[in-house]
Amino acid sequence: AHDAPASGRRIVGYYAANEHIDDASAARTAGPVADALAKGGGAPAVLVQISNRRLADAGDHGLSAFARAGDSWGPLDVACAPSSKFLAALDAGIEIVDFDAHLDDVAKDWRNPHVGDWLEAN
Amino acid sequence: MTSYAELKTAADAAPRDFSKATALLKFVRGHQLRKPAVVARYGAAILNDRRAASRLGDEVWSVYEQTLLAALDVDDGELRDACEAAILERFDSASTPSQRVERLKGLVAEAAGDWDAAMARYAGLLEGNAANAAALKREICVLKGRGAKPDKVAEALNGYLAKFQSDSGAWQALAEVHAGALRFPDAVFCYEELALFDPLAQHYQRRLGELYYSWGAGLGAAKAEPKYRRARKYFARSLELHKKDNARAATGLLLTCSAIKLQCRGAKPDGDDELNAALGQLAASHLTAAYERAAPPCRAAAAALVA
Repeated sequence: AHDAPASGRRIVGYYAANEHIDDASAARTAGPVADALAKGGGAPAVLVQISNRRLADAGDHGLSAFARAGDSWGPLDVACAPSSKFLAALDAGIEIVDFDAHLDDVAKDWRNPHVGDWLEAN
Repeated sequence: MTSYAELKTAADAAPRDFSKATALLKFVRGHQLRKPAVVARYGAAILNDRRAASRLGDEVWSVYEQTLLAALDVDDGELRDACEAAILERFDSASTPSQRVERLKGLVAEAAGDWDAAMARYAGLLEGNAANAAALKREICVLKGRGAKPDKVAEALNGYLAKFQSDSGAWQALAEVHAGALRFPDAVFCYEELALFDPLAQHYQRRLGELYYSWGAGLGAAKAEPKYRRARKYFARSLELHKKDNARAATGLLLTCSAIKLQCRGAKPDGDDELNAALGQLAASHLTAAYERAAPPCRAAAAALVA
């Protein structure tokens, strides 16, 4: 939301993953966070839930996406590279920087340009 | 003083030089870091090389143990079996079962999802010594692994802490179980205990700030202010204890001062306004200083926050 004026980019959503591999429930804080993002950004936000079990399948990306539909969330289609690609990136030493990691060391860039670069090259 | 990053860079640069890999693994052990992919890779390399392994002397067993744990984390079945076999051959005798080996067997069972087998191992350890903290803690991990609800996990941790009151890791685990369930008073209580153990630990102060801020954010404007004011105090203390590169505390302090002014008071003047503004300014200047090291777009985003 704060990046918007400078680059024309927006934060469009929030992704959540549960700690327990078999916990497929909606992450408790995810909905309210996505709503707050939508309110602050002035546009609808997307909620992405990561299914831990599905990630084990190399051909599956393990993601489910939702958009606000009245009082609840309705599913959206997701087009994404499969989890095998993420593993290839990990093996190549590509580390995603999330905002938490960024706060630990602000030199790490939460926009992850290195990830974009690697994906384009591979 | 060398850092993990430096040791890793040195090991990556010289893959045939096992002394670099050994130094890296020793650092990871000593600092109790969890770097499974790195440990599995370098541990396997060292242990597979006869000369490198023999040059370690007795240290080789620590490396076997460390590599076994890493193999469990990255789910490398071959590596796990090889390490386990080596350790069992050396240490597992029927006459005097080693506590350390029993714990490792339990961990292997846990990784395979064989909860009953794991619990049997830990029960065995506790029969020999009812105060075996490691076994008691693993039992709680099995509880979590089985998918127990936060209430049950908290109950188990409370039981453990009743026996081991100074285990700060357990206090923090309990605090985070409470925080995850949005039970702020309980989470705060735990972190206050931790802050008593270590009053100069800036991260406990900062976490208390975060908890009070989240607590306040969930309340109406009138009730929120006391929580925000406590949060402000803790963030400020964290910043005082750790001034340089403390982006978390600086951000927290900035957001809290902002919340106090905008959400709680609005246009109504208050005796505390001057202090609030001063703390907000302090937070802003620390945040800007911390972001000197960041990539320009991140810095710009931080500057927008400050404005």
